[in-house]
Amino acid sequence: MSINFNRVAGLIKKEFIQFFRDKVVVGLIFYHFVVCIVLCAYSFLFLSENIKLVVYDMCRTEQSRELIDRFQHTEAFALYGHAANMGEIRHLLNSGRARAALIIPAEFSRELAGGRQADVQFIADASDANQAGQSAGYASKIVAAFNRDVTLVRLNREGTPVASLPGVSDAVRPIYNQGLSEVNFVVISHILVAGVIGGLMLASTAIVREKERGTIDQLLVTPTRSIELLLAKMLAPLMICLIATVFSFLIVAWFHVELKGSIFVFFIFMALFLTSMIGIGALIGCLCNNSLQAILLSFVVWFPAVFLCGVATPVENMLPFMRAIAAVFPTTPFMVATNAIFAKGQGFFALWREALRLILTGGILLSLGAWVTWRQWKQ
Amino acid sequence: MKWQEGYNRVLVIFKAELLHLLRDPISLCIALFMPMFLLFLIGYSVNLELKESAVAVYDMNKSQQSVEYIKTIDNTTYFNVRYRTRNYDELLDLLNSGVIKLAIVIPPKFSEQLARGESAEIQTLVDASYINSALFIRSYMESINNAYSANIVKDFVRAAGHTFSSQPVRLNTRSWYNQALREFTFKITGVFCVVILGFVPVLTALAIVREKESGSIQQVFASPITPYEYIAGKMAPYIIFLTLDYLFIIVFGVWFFDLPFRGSIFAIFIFTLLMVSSCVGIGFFISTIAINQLSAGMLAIVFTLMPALIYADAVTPLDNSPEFFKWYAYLFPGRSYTDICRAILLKGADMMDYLKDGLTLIAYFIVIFSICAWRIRGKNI
Repeated sequence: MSINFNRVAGLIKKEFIQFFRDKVVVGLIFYHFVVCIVLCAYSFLFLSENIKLVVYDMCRTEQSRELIDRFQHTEAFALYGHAANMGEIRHLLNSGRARAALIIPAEFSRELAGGRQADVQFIADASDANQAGQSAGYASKIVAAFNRDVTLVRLNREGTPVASLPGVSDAVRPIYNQGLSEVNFVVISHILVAGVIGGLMLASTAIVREKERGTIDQLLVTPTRSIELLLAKMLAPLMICLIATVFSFLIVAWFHVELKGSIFVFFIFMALFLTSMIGIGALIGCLCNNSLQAILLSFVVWFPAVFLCGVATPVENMLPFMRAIAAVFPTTPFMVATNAIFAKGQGFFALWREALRLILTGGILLSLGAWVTWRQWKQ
Repeated sequence: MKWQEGYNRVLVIFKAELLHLLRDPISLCIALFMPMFLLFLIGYSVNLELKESAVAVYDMNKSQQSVEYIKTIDNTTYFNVRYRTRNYDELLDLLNSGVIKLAIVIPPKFSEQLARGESAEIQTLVDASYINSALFIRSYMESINNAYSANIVKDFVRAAGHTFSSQPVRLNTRSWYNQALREFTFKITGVFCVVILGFVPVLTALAIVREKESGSIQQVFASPITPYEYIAGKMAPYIIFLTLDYLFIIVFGVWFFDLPFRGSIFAIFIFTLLMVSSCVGIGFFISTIAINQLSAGMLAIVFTLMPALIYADAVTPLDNSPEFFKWYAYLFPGRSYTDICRAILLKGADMMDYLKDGLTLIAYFIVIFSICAWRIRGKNI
């Protein structure tokens, strides 16, 4: 079985022409590889800042105001306003206009002055459990600092002159992502998301399109062998997605995401990963009769491929059976590999396990896709 | 009767479209099963809590105090001190191989500094390549250290012979609406919005473009039907079917994941109806601008699916995104729906609390309905 590479090149050229003619598809690829990454880098962030806080200060003294000030002067909270009674707090939290409430009792400064303990209430709207956990953490941190300062002043006033209090503090040294920046991670992981969409959509619609228009028969009566046609149908999406990835790298540069490893190794992994996605895409293309079915089925694959690979949650936090499903998708080893290349600067050989998994899943999927397509075309 | 005639015309279109909908098994399957699939997927996979995460410690102090401190960390449910190393490089190796996400270095003067009443600074190395875990680890460590420090201060104050409280302020944290802070509750209520905003436009984006492709829309133009009647007749079966479909999915999700249902089902029904109608409107709008079914499908995905995930407030909070993006988010009806859904299910809020959002959804629907009718009237589609 010999392959005429001139013919394959011609067919790839045809695929490219068809790709650029359909403005919607070009737009879709651009959107996912560029626009979407920017959108996500600005908005797909887990860390909550400026949580809207409503305060009910029953004490209204200098000390209570100082505590409120400390809440206000962090990035964590933004003061929404003062409430005059509990009903108002209930209403503001119910309607979602405030997300947390701080209630300072009337006897607050009296208790403080007497050296006793004052109970301050903090209410977090836990319908958003994630944010509630964070805001409770911020609040306890603020109160802990307040307590230390008050205690220090008190010790000095009561005849124990000390300059500082004992305690354990923590110098966090983030490894691999110095600024602990969420943006880095989001940008990297959304190149993966774009790759999944690009690979699936382009490959599946390229095959379905010919079926829909009936042009597949015309191609099959030409001297072109079906293996050549298949090769073109898979190489063209691969090339388009890799070119689109170059544009994604403009975004990487724009957000100053640090790439510690080599860009070359990244592109090798990207190509391996795209190959397996294209294999799945080709399978979808064979199963479907029209483009819409292909798009919808692509999305059935897209969701688990993206959600289970560690973009939203680290894989090791998942339930065992979810982890088993995640292991099947090529996105999982690719996520590990991109992270290692970008953040840890690891080279190709350090990542041989991931490479092997990608080559294996890619090889199996691709040959399965090729075999099914080829059988379909022979008929 | 003019009114009666118009009604009859709407009914004819309604029946034809209903047949189309029922005859398309793939769309029906997707309408029914994709949301459930997503419910399970997100419900079971998105979990950010750390449980017994492996930790390595390099104790340079080796005193009673440092051993006690390590025990405190080990005793939490978040961390499990599994490795003790004798040098710094071993820690880095463990981090590099991904066995641990957190390494703690206790300085040689740890206990001395504490005894002298100074602040001892430990060092923690966090694997920040998975940023979400890293942020959680950082905040867990902070709260562990705060609690530990508070205890030391208490002893210090006692030792100095004072009787006042070393914890002048005690923070009583309550979480409302979701006492156990179950992530399920939060994720699942978010998915309700994602599935509506994500799938309804994709399912309805073909309604008009199909007729355009087959040319049967010319017959519609030639008939006495007005654009408003045509759109109304076409939208109605989708709105009815999909509202019931999603109501079923919400009830199923609440039942399966054992969520609280504090509000009234009627309120959920009304807001779901409004939300579905708006999304059907978006689908129809896409249908009027797309040239063929393929591009309609793709446009629907670009316009709605990704924004649904990013901007519905479902997975991540929206409060911290820049102003511009917040405005972009308001182009989609999802934002208020997630809030409403959570409020009704978890807070037992009634409709009056969200009257404004309800009216916004109604206005959204009217506007998009008129745009669709106007696009049809132009006959330039």
